[in-house]
Amino acid sequence: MLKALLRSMSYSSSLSFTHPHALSIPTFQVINEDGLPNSSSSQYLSSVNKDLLIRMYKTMIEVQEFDTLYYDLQRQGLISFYMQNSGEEGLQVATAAALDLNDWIFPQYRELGVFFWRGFDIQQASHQLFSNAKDLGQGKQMPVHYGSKDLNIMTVRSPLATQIPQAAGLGYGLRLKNQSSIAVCYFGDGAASEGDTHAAMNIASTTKSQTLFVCRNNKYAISTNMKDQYGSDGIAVRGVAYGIHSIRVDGNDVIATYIATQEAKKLILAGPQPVLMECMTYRRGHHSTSDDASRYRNKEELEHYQKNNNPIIRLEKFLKHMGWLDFDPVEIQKETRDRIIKAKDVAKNEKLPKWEVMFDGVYNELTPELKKQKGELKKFLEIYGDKYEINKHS
Amino acid sequence: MLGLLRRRVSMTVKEAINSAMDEEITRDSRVFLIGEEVAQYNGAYKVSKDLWAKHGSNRIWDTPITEAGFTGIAAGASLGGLKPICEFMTFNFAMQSIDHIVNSTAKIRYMSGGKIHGSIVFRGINGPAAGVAAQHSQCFASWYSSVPGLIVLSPYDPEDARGLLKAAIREDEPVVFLENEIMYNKKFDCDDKILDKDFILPIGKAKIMRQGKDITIVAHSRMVGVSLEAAEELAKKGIEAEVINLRTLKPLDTETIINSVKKTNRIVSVEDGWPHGGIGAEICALMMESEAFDYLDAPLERLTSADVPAPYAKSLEEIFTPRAVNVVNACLRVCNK
Repeated sequence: MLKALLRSMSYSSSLSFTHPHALSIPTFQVINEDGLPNSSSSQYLSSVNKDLLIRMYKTMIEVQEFDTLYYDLQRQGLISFYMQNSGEEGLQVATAAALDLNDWIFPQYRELGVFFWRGFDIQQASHQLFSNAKDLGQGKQMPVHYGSKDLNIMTVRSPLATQIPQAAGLGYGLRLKNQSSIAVCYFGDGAASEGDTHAAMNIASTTKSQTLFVCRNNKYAISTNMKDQYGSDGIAVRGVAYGIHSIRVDGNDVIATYIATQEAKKLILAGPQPVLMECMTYRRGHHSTSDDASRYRNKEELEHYQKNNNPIIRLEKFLKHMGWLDFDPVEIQKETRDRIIKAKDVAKNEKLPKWEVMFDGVYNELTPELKKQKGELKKFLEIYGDKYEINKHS
Repeated sequence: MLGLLRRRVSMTVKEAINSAMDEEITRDSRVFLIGEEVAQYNGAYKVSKDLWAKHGSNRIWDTPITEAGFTGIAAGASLGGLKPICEFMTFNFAMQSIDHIVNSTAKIRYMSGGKIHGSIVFRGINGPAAGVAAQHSQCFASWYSSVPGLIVLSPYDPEDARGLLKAAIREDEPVVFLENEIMYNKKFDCDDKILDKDFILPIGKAKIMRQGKDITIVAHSRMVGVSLEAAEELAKKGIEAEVINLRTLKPLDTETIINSVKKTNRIVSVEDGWPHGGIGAEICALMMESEAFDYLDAPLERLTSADVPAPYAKSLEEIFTPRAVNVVNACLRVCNK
């Protein structure tokens, strides 16, 4: 006890200020932008195999094709809103692949690959986007606000960073209950500025929460570039400041991200203690369909991340290098797109949630007040139902 | 005679807010705009369009994403003598900073025995919009109106927006200015007097949009438009409704409301916030507590949004907020027709 106290109090007789970039954390990478393993990477390659990587590839294509279709559908007015995952498919799938179903996920809103990997399929996602009677959320939320209690994925919520202290809290509960699972929250470089992020990481380090903080540093928060978002050496160093084991990883390198996530979970359970992982990536799409990124980004930057530092292309090159590319990428893309279109048609033709469900879910059971209001609405619709699209309700 | 030949100007609500901010920032060096995306991006809804280009980074300040953070900074600046306009992308996000708004800016004058206070305007969109569901649609009119120490304004048209925002910025109090996203792009034909750089509307004074003798309809923000629509329908049925645009929610213009009820003897309130403890509830209490009670021929009826978090699906959204048909029906009931 005394030794620990003495260790933390070292004196210096020379005055000096620690430079803000005195600690600069390097980015862990296994395969380079050409999809080839780095010279010292061979020790890590045994952690992955052909089947795992091909499954990752196919899931990334699912995300890519799903994004492409639904972005277009929004522009055509078929759905009102959408948020793409372009550029971040790699880190989504790679982190999810290293976790178990009994780990709890707290997403932000750009983690479709995590959903798909865990079994939240294309059809369910389509129902949510069309907000129809089969939507698990009963038509209560905007598009892309998916969630699944069965798959231990918290519903996507709109306010930024609120999910972070909540993940710290759940991770604390897991520790108290001696569980060998962890809570994982995802958040962007912009959300990392929120006060909730600070509170979460600070508290998690004192409560030794079994929580993995995954920052998707995609370089933009709507139009705000990282240089306007923070003055530190990214988000990874902040973890150190809070007393948390931290790592920075190349989020567009699925192998590095997968391995880092595996090791992070081991480290969390060994503590127990929280871990921060900053995944460097790039948001190729607009913030959402309400944004037009061409107003504030230049073409060269976008092209670089489309052609060179693209997680899907890098993995494809690696598979080719290893002689594991036993499928035709174009065929996979086409087949995936066909499946997504079929699911879209099913979702589109479903009826809308019936008006009665509006009163459900406020509490566990309807209160007398709500029952009364529901009765009044029933009477009202009996007379004026034709002024509403009741025939489209389920 | 010439006074009758006033020129008209066509303007959207968004343009009104933009021009009011522009003029006040130019007029008073202490005024500045702070918020997310307000500078080069011109604002999440483009309300601060061209302001950064004109006034620069010292007066138009883009912040990192932390409502609690930048509201705290703005509150501190106001206590130090500056006059911030603190923009929230939506008041729904201001829940993360409500402690700064209520516990700091609203209460500080009282707690310091009148010695410390700050001038600050909190503005942003409020209430249900279109297709943005539970966490983007809450109306905070009654929450903020319940706090002693805050002024709460709710403009409807460009005249309201310009006159009330300028008044708010010049005011030496914390003001909550509730805008409406659906109204932003609505164009109105206005009296050109509103273009005057010193065009100020009085805080605490409602406006009678339409005179009538049979029933009083009280509303604020977008529901004023819905009420006017209902009044047209009622006129066809021989009922002349008097539509009051509240403009200020705190302090409420009780005199205008009471005088109207003394004339019409019947009243309906319309809002798109929730019923429990809403603006209509406050007006209801007013009817009970004031001399208006002796003039009522029927109880007040309130129209509010449904008592649920705002749902998303179209089938649910269209039954969630009051429409003209609901206002007409309520008026018919209150008129015993």
